Amino acid sequence: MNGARQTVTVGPCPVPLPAGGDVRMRLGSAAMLAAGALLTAAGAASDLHRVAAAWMWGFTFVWTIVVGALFFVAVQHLTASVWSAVVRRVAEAVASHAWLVAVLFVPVVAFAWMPHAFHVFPWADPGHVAGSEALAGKAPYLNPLFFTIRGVAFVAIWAAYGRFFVGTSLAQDTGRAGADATVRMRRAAPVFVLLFAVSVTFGAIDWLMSLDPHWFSTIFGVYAFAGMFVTALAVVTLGVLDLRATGRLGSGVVRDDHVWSLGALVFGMSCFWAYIAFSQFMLIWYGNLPEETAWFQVRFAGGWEAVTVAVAFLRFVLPFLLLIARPAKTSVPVLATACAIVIAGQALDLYWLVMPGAHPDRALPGWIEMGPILAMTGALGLGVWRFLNRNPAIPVRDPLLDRSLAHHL
Amino acid sequence: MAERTRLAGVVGLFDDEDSLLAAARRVREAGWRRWDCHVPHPVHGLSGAMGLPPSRMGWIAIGAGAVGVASALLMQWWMSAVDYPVLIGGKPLASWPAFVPITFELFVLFAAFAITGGLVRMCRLWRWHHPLHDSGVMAEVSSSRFAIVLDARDDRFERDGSRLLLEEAGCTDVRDLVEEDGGEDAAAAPAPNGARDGGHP
Repeated sequence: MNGARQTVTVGPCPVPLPAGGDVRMRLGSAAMLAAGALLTAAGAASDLHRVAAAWMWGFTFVWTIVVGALFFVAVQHLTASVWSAVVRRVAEAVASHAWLVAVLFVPVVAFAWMPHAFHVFPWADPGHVAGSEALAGKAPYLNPLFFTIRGVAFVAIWAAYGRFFVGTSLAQDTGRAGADATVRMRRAAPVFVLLFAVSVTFGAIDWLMSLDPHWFSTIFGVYAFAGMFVTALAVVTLGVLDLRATGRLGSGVVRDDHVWSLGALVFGMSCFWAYIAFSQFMLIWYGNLPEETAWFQVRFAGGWEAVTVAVAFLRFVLPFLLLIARPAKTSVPVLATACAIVIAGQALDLYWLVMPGAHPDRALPGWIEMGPILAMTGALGLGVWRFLNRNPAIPVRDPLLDRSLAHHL
Repeated sequence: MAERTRLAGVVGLFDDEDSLLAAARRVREAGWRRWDCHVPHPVHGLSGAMGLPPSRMGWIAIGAGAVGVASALLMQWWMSAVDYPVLIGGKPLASWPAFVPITFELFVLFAAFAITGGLVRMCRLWRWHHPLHDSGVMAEVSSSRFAIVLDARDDRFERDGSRLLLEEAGCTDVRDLVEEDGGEDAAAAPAPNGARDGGHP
């Protein structure tokens, strides 16, 4: 414990961001939203199948960022974490958009109910299922009704807990939440984390693994979680670095000790992803069973082998090399580059998971593929910056804030 | 054999860590090289106040880890493709995915051994004895007090001047560190601040 405690004077009203940084982010997000929406509309007019696959790509990308950030928030309460109080608000800004995941999920329900119009889920097509004993055996799980019930339950859980955690934290800022706000969030955290484990596992099975319904991998839920959490950490880290650079978070609030902790988490979770991804690959390679290896064979041919290697580099090799040194984790250019690479790696990983099923012979995305992910990321960006403009950049009345400000490694 | 004594250094004892940090800064600014701090618990900012350089432990770990990776790959390639080739599941004799787990394990194992050995070497943990152990200072430092030790072998050491430096830094309890019947041992002994490489997180 450091003897000298710092105090910070941040009122309930946030210090407005310097216009440059804020306008740049909001304009960029708005441009992405507009361009993506145009591309999506034009794509829907020209090739509905491709837009539907692209929708799954964009939807899973936003899903992993938002729900990963919600998990980050919940874990801080679960562990009564002190150091993270000053960076938690940035994660809350992202997690508060769990409702957006629910909205973006609506077309996915349509994909399951109208298989001939969209061609996203092969198991949704009764004619396809009838020809396969394996798919007929999976039909009690993989059918449009159960799929919809599960999905609605998952997005409802995330939206409800997103509202609870972020709403309680914001109410704490103004004193409306009562003295037991932190205790209530701590009590909710373990319940949420258990629900999160189940919902993310089956969400990944439903929305990513079932795109190739013959294939199965028992580690797939962990694989999706690893990618989700490291991406959310990278997003939070970039947000914190940007808020600090534009002056909203003074250098005395988020210091190198906090930034180092975030960088170490990004580094560690990148390694965790690599461990899980290689475990998935090696067991399937070793077992060499046709129903399992077919999924990888598609990804080792037709140009997809380059994407496979790029995923490994973006998700593990580059972040590992960039962040392994201690000074790198507090160097703004190095850490920001590594985080951007991690986020790009998540986008490419999901592309690699979703697209080979839709078009195995074409690895490069066309303009139709870019529409939904651009629009959804732009919408999320707009919402996050709007949130950060309206609310303090740190939880100003969090009881842990004093000790978080004094966090030393 | 007559008992000999030798002045091994000067010890300043402090009651709180802020005084220690301020004093450590003064000693560093005075240009001392052979000196060290002893504390009952980790003190944030002490390595910065002492001006300790970044630890070399990371380089030791990555170097040994690289040796581990090379050893693991060479060993597995030689065993499965040269010395005792067995076809498994129709896979090539030298299949890199099968080598990865062992390679990872030896990377960690070699690095861990090197870190342990490097820590022992850098902290000079093989020493049997140090004059501080006779002085009673370590008993105090182990419970509640903070100490700065100025080693007599530093070029700047001069008994009264060194005591004055600590007193000017706010120390009210300055003691001589006397080594009894030492001689050879002390001459061969390294500086007390030899621990600087290992103590950095």
